Amino acid sequence: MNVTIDAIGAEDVEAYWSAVGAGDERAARAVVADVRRRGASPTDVFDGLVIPAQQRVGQRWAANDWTVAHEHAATAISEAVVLRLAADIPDPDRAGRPLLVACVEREWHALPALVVAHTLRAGGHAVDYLGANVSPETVVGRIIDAGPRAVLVSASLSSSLPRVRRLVEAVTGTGTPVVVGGHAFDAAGVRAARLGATAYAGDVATLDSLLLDLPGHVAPAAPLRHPGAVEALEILAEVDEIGRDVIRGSEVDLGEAGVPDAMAPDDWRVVLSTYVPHVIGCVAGGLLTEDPSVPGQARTWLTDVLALRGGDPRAVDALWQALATRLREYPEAVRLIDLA
Amino acid sequence: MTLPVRERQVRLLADSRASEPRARLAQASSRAEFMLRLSRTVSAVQHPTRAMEALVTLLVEEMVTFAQVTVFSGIRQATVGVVHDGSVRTVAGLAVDAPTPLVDEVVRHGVVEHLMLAAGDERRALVDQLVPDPGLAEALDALGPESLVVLPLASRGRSFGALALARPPGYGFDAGSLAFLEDLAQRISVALDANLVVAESRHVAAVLRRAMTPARTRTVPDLDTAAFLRVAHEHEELGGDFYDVHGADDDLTLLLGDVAGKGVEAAVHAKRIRNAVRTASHVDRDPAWILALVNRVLCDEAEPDSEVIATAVCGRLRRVPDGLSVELANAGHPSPLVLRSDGAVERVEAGGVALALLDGTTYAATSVVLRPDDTLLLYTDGVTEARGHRDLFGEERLVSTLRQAGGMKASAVVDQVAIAVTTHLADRQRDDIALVALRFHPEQP
Repeated sequence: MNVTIDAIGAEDVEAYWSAVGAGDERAARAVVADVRRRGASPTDVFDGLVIPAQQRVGQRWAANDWTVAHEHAATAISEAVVLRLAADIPDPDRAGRPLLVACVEREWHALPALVVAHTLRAGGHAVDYLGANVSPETVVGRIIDAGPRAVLVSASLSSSLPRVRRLVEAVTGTGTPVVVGGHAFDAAGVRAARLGATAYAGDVATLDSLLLDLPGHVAPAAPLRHPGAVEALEILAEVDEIGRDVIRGSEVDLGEAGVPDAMAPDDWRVVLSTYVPHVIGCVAGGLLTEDPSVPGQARTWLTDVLALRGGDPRAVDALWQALATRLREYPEAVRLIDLA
Repeated sequence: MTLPVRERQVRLLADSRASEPRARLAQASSRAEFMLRLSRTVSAVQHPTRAMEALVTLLVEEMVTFAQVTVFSGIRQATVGVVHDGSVRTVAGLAVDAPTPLVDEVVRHGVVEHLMLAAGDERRALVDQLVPDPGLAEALDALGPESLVVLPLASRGRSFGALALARPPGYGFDAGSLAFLEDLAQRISVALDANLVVAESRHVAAVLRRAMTPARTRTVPDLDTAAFLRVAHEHEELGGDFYDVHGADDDLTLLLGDVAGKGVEAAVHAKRIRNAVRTASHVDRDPAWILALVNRVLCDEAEPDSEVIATAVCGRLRRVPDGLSVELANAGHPSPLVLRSDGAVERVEAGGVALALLDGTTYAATSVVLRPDDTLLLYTDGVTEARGHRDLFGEERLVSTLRQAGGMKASAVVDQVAIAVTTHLADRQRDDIALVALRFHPEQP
């Protein structure tokens, strides 16, 4: 263990970070080659360089220092680094049934899942990595082909919780255990359990130990029949219309509150049209998991993001009000929105 | 040592002829319930070996002390077995490598074998003819069963496997329980057979799918490439979009195209076009000449009842002193775009008629030079024609997405376009989508 601590110093972390920030793949690879020569293993590089840099990438975007494009450019460098290191990890000798690793549909934050996949490979597991934005159809197809021991699902956004549920239904329907992880879930695993996942893992070490105790075969996830679950499905079915109405509703409300000057109208529209579907997804996710903190956290996050972009915090209040008005025929949703 | 035998295990196979009507009714109902659970489990698990594991596990949990299922599929054989409180053992491979004469015989004759076992070497010999896994054979022998039942698994008029069962010492199989087990075997057969059919058709699709894209991501010095391919009918996992890169590092042929239609038929035609381009490029890498030749082949081979129409872009990539020269010929396909390192976007126009439409069509190539960190983007109309809530994604959105990505890694460019298109589509029905980006990224700029 000392080797790992010695091999990656604070100056390596900074050198890697500035290479990633500059979109300079060669410089990033040079830092990695250097720490590798000093004895760092591929997983040491994941833990010591790649993951810390990626956390900073997310912070830079949230702080409005970086554009989304800049974020993608930086992430692509780390992905290339991980893929290159992955080639140094030998495939396990025993060809057991693989673990499938996938990001839930419409999620593009593939780096955490990629790192998990190759860390598991380094730990001797056979892994089949399916990448970002994977549909339930694709996962079930791979289950038929590969008969995996388990499917590991990564979800970073809580608006993905309804899509996690769809995937959990598809995977457990084939009797295959499904383990979920990522920022979409709470640390206690309550949301994961309510969605019917076989297990929740907050980190690779937990994942590695719970793989030992996973059942070989699981029953299909029990249907969600609470009133909120029904509302969630209905809301998701018309997310486009609800989004459009909420944007219109907020503009009207804002006009009445006299806020429109708080932000340039273009910025306001961009932020709204980008994040309204996310907020609606969080409401549906909160309904499915019966967890009011899902939309609550979305609200806090959106308030912060807007504040750092010079927005008026009242804009978020207006959005919430418009959402409550638009969803008034859904009592569970309204209750949840009021709690947030 | 005798293993504890649970009441339920005994009850399912108990001789009930002399029992009270109420007890007989209870047994009939637990048998029906068990049979339903078993066939549901086997049907749900769509992977054949996994289904077999779930099957034997359930059998030893609920009914017997030993269960083993064997399935023959083509020249291959898979056997999965387990004893009560043991771990599941799987032996898979070529049928000849696992000589299990007892199983073979049951499969060949399609008749139930009910074997009485005497203790000692004779029993061990019989067990060895049935159980290919030595550890499992030993465990079964150690259990000391007095009899074994081997049931054929048959479906659609052919027998394709066998199910072997044993009960603890002191318990046998009477006529009533044998009739129940034959019923059970029939249910299992139908469920397993469906799994095998699905697996076989998936295998065919996988072979075709591999033919649609380059076998491995080809690494070419100074060229950073990334691709995104998504098919409309995901359960088929096959679409009409295809791409290919081949040739020498300093003289490459690039191909991206789209066959009208979807699914297996489109995939087969896509494969034909890829092959024709590969063959033609061995003679000459001039993309206009290649497309003209491929068009002639497709027109010649056209069948009256199957109309094939395809669009394609064919390119030739060569190093020149000031960069990477790209010659492009276009057969009715959306124009490729060049994303300059500073974010400027240019359309590479090279007009031409779609393939297989008109015999004797000729094409003209257009040239463009990529300087360091310029990117060439090829895409199919699934990108621009992605239907959103209000409108199609369109070239304008594509260009404005690209402008932010000048000079970035090819994977970052492809990701951003793919995200923008997928977000625009939301959960609507989609067309096949293909995107390929090539960034000229020389080691020595």
